[in-house]
Amino acid sequence: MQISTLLAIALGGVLCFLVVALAYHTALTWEVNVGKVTQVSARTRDILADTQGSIRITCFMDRRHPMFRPVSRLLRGLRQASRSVAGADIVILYVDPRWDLARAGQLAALEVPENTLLLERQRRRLIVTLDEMVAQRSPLRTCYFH
Amino acid sequence: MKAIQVIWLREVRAFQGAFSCGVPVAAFLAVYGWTFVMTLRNNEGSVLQIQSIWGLSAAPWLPLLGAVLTMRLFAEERATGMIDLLLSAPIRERDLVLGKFLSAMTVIAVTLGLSLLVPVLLLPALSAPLLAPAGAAAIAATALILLLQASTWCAAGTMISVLFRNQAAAAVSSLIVCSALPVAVYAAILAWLPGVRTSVAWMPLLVHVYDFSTGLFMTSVITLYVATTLFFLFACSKLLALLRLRG
Repeated sequence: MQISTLLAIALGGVLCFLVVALAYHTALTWEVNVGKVTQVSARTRDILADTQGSIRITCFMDRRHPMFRPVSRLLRGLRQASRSVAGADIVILYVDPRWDLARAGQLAALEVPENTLLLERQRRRLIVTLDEMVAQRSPLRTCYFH
Repeated sequence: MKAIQVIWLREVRAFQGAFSCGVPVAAFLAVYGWTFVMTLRNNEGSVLQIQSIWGLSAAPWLPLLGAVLTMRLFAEERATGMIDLLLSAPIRERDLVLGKFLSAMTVIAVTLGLSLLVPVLLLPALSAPLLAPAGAAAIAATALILLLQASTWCAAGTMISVLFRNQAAAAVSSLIVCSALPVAVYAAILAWLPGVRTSVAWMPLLVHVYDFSTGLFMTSVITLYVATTLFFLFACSKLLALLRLRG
């Protein structure tokens, strides 16, 4: 292979990497209402806008749980909404009891049951269970609320 | 007629009668159907939307379809000696690559369209009281991310196809790069990188599909797929130029 060709491909790869890195750094995200998935409500946005500092949300769920994907999507939507209103910095952590035994043990010691969200801000803790998160349970029809 | 259009038409016609096109498309639809049914059953009582189930069922199989469809694009030309004729013609490498890439994308778009028949027409007709039909915006958003992913897999497959004379070798290499490698990286993160594991929800390629299908659009994800597609096509045209120089 000619050196010039190899160099051109390598430079192309570097450019591609830099463009992607820049895109991830700027992280422009927007949420559009499609289907039956609801967006973050205006009231929640107001609350997020008034909240400053960092909120750590620990999703203590098995990744195979049927509700894991919708819950993780809900958290990403919440983080995006908070960023869009320059509100609290939401840090999301996923603790899978199958993989993260040590962290799961720590959460169990804090009396956090499985399939819950643990919201932490400074010294305050709030545990939200799965039943509290889902509006209604019916196949493929329910929507989650924020 | 522009060179890209001529090559695109030539390749689409070649795909129509090719055994290496009909069988992979049929196999894709079969495994997609199986995954769709299993995902539907496993998520009973969940809040997963029908367009998300469609996207999550089709996305894991797209690299395989892309690899098999693109394996013949240049490898066959090299094996039969047609590549010399093509490269001696007054066609730019860029046009050649784009024409062939777009033909593979056309086949994938048609296949995805066929796979859409079940969630959009059949399922709502059979279970109207349970299931409202998915909205056009939701389907369009899911189709967008699936096509973006398919473009990356097709571009990578097209580039790899230039490197081989043997179609099977090209397909296996594409499968390793597009399918096995991402899965292996994700498995390695789960197994050995607990720090990264806690910040990764699940397989990122599927997270992208789920986010787009539920209306969470990220420019970073769009840029990732567009940039990698352009890079693979650029590398492909450079490799082709090298073949032309060698004669």
